[in-house]
Amino acid sequence: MTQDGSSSYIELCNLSLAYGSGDAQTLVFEGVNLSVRSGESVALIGPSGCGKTSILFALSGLLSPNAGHITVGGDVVEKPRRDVSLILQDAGLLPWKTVWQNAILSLKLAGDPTGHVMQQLQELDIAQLAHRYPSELSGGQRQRVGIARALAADPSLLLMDEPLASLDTYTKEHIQNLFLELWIKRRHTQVLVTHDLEEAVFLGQRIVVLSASPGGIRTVLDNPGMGTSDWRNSDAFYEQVIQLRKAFQ
Amino acid sequence: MKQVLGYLVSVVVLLLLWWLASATFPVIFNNPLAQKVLPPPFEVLTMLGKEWSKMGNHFIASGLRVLWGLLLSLTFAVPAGLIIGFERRLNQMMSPLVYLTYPVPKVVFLPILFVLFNLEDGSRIALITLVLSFQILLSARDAAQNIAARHTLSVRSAGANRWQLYAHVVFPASLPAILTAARISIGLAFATLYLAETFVRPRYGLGKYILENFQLNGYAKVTAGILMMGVLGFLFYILLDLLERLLCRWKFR
Repeated sequence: MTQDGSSSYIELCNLSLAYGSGDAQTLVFEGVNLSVRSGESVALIGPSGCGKTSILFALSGLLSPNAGHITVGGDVVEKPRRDVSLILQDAGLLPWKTVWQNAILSLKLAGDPTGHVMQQLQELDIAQLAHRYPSELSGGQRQRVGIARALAADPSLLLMDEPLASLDTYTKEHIQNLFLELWIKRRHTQVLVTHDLEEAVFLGQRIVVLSASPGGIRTVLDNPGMGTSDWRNSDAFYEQVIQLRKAFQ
Repeated sequence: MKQVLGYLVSVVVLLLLWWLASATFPVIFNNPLAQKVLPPPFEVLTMLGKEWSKMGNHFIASGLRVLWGLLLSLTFAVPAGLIIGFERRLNQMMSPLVYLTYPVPKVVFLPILFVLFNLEDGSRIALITLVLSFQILLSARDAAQNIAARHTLSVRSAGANRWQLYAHVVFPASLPAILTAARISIGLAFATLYLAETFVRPRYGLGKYILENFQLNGYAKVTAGILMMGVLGFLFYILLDLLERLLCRWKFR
């Protein structure tokens, strides 16, 4: 159950992860407990090495925790699931596949039909780039392809690992707006890992601040203004960024 | 178009250098045979015209030996190299074996191969396959070992199984390095071919043609044979280049 008593979609229970073995073992994070409601947007923020990406990879089933467990939709996560999509930094596109081939990858792997993907590319304004390779795209276009690929399988959980870290400010804000629009439209659950305080405040209904070495949850900030009209330009937004900076320091 | 022009200019430069070498050898080398050993281009090209019907058989026989060697080595060495490189434990087990056998010059196995294949063509193809396989296996292994983690992660997170991971990431990511290794190794394959065609002479083969005419002091024919071996090597380079342009289109955008 979450703090407000509603049922949770994601549960992280006493999660710990260490790399290596024996004396060379390094504890990445320990004792992480977190609940996320269905349709909620949560941002994870913390210093480098606090294990935020590892938490995301554990959520996607790419990493197995040393202790504790994760459930998504009531099922224990043991391997990557079809209803969970991950967007990596620089979109994680395969350079040898065209935009179209990248976008339909998860559907092709599962042997599912791909007919609806072209419409998705049109909605994301990249249909005209379908035959291009990632090296022929701008950073923003690459990220749109990453979004198209992630959404092609209609996931109920979207995980994002610093997806906008390599973009310029203008493109970054543009794609942040796109993430928000898509979330409002689809109401999927999403977990965003970011270094960027403003991005966390713009896209997180709750912001989980992690501590470093070994990582753990320092505090969780509620961010009720997220998604409201003109949120980015409001005084409350800047107030929230200041609050987050204090919590972060 | 620029590339074709580049090749044409290179051919003209090579012909000039050849002509210069044939003219200066008798002056540089104090040897009575130096006048004959490298005939000028015109003499060799005239000889090539005369010998064309015979040369065709030698050319095709040698070309097929290298082609079979290339195809077999790609068939065996690419999957082996990719699996060894991508599966860390297998790499730890197999790499010492590869390193121990790599420095052994493969041509020393020629007598054994001739015995195993009853002096038939299989022995020559097997030797070329052996030589090419080590180069291709090592390149495929290194390429598979160095695949960017973000590429495997993004495909694994999309639910790919092991086979799909190889099909969508490991193979396409390693293909440019494999084709480069094949291209580099073609020179080695032709050196091996010459040895294999002269150690026990087949009915047809450019190596046999060159050596036989050398023993008969037919230097124009020897040079024509060398020229055709060069042309054959060039065709293989072009073939691999085209293959790379076809299979790795993303590299040329």
